[in-house]
Amino acid sequence: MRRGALWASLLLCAPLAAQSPPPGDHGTHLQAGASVPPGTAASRPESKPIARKRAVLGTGAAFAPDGALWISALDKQGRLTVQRSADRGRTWEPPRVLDTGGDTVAADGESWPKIAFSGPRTVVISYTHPLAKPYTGEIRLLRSDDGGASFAPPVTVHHDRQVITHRFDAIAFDAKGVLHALWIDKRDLEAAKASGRKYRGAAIYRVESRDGGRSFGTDTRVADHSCECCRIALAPAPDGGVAAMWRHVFEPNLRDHAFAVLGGAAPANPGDPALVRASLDHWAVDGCPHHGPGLAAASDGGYHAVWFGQRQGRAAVRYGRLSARGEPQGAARDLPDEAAEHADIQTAGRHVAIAWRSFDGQATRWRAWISADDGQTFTLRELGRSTLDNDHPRLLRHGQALVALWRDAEGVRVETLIP
Amino acid sequence: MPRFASACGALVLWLCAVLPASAAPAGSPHAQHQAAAPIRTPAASVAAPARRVEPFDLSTWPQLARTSQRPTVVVFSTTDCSHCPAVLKALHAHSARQHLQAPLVAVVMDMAPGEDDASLLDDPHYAMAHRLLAFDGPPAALRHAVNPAWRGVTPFVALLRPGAAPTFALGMPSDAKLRAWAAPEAAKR
Repeated sequence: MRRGALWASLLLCAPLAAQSPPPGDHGTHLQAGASVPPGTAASRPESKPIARKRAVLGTGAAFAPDGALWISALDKQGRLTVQRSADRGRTWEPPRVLDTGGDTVAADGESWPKIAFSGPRTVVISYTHPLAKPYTGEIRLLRSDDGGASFAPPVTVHHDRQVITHRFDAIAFDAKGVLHALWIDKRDLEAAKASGRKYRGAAIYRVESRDGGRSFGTDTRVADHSCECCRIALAPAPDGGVAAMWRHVFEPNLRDHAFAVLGGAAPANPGDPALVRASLDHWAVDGCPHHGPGLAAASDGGYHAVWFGQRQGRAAVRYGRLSARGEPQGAARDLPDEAAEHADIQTAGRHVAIAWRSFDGQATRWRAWISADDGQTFTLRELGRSTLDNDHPRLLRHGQALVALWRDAEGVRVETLIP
Repeated sequence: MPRFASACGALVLWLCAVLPASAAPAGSPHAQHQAAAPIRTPAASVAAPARRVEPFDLSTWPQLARTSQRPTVVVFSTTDCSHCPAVLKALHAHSARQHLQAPLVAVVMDMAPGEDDASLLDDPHYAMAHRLLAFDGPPAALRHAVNPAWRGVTPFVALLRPGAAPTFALGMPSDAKLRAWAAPEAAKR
């Protein structure tokens, strides 16, 4: 293990008292908007109870404004927990079990509980709550107004209450403190089916909250025809909003990526925002890649992106530059690892870090590609390996520091990449 | 240790030989502990649905590939794969249309045996599967054992034929691929 490698064994199975108020649906935090049907506990859709035999490792991570590293994950009993480290993963406070009001929480593969901070006091955690009917779910959110000391009962962020797909949530606060939540939504597919029309894929929907997750605006469609099973990537946009990148289904069945800027200087209610094609692999497949992209802001106003795709029969995770509008700039480059998967990307100034995992037949390697010149040249770095089941690698930024985090069935590893 | 492993392997193979695929009813507490059974092709039909969820561990793929006595279709799926049901249905229909009597084996990758067997067995998407298995071990290692180039895209289809290397497809295999796979059987008729 190289300099700065930090190993921390998590005590995620340690049962600790919940810090939250009693369970409920919306508690006292009613959502904005007139179209919300009653969300009483009695009307809650049936959860999908799952007694997981395998470790469920999907882990969210973020730095708090005070520099503490937080993670959100499930413990061995499937309960949502948060855990804090004041020394960048060297040591961890005991996990705290959060009250989700009985929700099961998706925490595997492309779905995991996300955590985000806004200022010193507001903390939100979003997750997909799978429902009993196959492919269905809802996006739930826990909110703290006291820096994570306690959390209000979970609320559903979308106003649509059909028992359909609302899954693969993504959240981010923009520079103005507006909380953006996006997810994959099949309401338009269901409507098309009901009227006998064909519809490619699913849709991306979003809501904004201007009070730190206490209430949400109306559900807004970002795009028709998204892929159905891949995570959505978010990055801060230069004008104050957020940029989103997701796997799309371009006609007839090309699973390239799309890009859109949301919020910020954009009109308050523009309808469908301009959608830009951000990758040009032309991968035609009627299948689920289970492999969403990564996106990070570039120092010049554009973006750096990583994605998985098949181009001319060759599958690879690729890196490319995007313009400020999301258009591909120059040739995409394959990561230097044919088995690379589930890459993440993060930037700090002209530093760019890409982290991924790859299975070599014996173990899963945790690797990074690091650039100090805005993505012109990269250096490969081995971060670790594991023979255990493991999560997708994550990259985080705190100030000018870039930090990699990876969880396997034994614990969480944290590695400072920059400086 | 190698000797112990070898003895365990022999025991597994013996169990495979003596336990029929439908030995344990759905939800049986014994179901998840039984070794994977070799493909047993019913004499008249392959339409009998799976009655239990079998483990798909590191020993399963070589065994499946080795012991298939007739053309066999293996579909790797996940519970959130929206394309998988249509492909399972289409492959089942293709096999019936071509009179292949090819067993259809479904492998669920995101649920382990014993987690929610009842709902997997009740799921209409798997109703036409002759056998239903679920990943039991690290997914990356299991995927690698099947095909090192496979990055987890579903449905991932393996077309098995006695004495031949498996043929793979992302999504529904092309007509040409299906024809090539079924050609020896067609020639026999």
